Amino acid sequence: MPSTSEIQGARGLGQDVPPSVDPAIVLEDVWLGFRLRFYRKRLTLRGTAISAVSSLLRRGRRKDTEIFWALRGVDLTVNRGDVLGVVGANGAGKSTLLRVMAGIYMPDRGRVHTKGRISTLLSFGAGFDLRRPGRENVYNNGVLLGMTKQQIEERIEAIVEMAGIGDFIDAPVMTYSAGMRARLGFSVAVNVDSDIVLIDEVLGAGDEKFRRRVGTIFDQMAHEDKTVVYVTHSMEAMTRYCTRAVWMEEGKVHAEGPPAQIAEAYVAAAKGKA
Amino acid sequence: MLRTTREVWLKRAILWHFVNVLLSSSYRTRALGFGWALLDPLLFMGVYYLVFGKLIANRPPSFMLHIYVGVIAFRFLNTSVSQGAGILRGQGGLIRDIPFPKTALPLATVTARLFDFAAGWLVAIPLAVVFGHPPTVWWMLIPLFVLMQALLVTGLTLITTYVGLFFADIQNILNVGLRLWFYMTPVLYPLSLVQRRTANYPHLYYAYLSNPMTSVLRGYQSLVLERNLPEVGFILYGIAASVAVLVLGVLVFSRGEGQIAKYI
Repeated sequence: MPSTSEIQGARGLGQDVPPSVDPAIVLEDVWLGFRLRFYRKRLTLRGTAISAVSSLLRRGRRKDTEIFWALRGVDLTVNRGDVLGVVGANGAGKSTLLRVMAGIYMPDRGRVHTKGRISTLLSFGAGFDLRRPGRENVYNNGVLLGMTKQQIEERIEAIVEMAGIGDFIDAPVMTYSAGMRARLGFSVAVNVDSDIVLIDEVLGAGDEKFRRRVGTIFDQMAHEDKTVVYVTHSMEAMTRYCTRAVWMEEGKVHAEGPPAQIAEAYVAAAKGKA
Repeated sequence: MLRTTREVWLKRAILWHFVNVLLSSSYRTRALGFGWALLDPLLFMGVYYLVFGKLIANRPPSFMLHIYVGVIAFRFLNTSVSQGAGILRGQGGLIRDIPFPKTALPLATVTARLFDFAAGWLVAIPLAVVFGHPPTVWWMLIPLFVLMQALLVTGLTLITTYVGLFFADIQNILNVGLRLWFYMTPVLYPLSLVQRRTANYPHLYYAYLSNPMTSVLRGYQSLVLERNLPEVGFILYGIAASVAVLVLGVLVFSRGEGQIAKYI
């Protein structure tokens, strides 16, 4: 793929995308690990100094290299116009996968290629500052996702309308219900003119009316040759929205195929284990 | 990081956005607002003059200008470096949820504090008139020394930003370290005093001069108070040291940039 760009370089710079059926996201043997010692407790200088001295004394025997591999060699290609559903148990690496695609995490091994601008909805917080009004947060996230102030102003009405939160847009985000927050985050992510939209399981908080709406929006995005990656625990949502599916297990792609088929196999496996 | 610096340049809006956030969060909640950026160094100048002016014999009132210039210059260093140490924690939610170049955060910190510094220089103009050293054409060269200091401050801020991610106690170390650094730089006393006292220990004097902030301050002091350029040694050493610190900062930050989101 000569025209794909490495994620470190051109993430979100709006690369030209040649018109043809070609991949929007390519992951080649991607590994991503977390060094556990950084989480065990808050690091202190004293603790680090002590362990540095003690590891000097026991030269050659490094104890501090325990790594939890959240992704263990993922190979995955997502084509333009795909709405890819990602399923898997808790801790299977789904959210990590999205963050690697977004370029938020750099892979420890392997390569990530993405083409085009990326927008994200990765948590309930959606990067919002809870004390500030919704409008200001829309503006902040829009800027960080690469839009100009003017572009956001042109779109803010549409964003508020799609989120269906009305006058709450000028109230602090902490006054929102979980569903409203998810709707606003979603509305920003799909309205910022990106080529790739990455969404983690947060839409579950939306009501039935909103879920129907999500289906229409995903369909429309696929028509516009945009790419959606959607992590979910709802098999119903996946079969309803997605055109393809992957099943993650223990940091690897366990299976890949049509959503209905993957959903069936996944549910059957879960029942077998329970 | 050079790549991401390019990216930050291409996405200047992100940098300005953070500069805006930092400036408004520093001043929005205060009754005097931005006035504090101007008032704070003036108050410190008064305190230092009261306390230390008496210790050093025969200090003319214009020595207050000497103190003021040192105080605003150190304030730029101080606030950038210590704010940088906390900025990644402060923006954790954003870093984990939205892809954007992380370099923007330390760069925005320095830029925001550079605004305060510039405001401090504007106040220096009437102050200089009051103390009998009205601005001359030499003042036109001040931005060059500000640039030199900005390189130094950026390098240090990149380092504290990255280290601050892993060690919260860097704040405590910085508090003490910056205080010590301040006293080891000719702010509250003239450099000539150090030179006299160390006349018999030339090595000690050179050790004292190895502080790049001394070179930076000598630049400001010469231009403002002596209407002259500082000795060429200060200029050359100042540039070399600032660039070296900047390169070190870039190396540290670029090594760690990919890890930031993981360990926030």
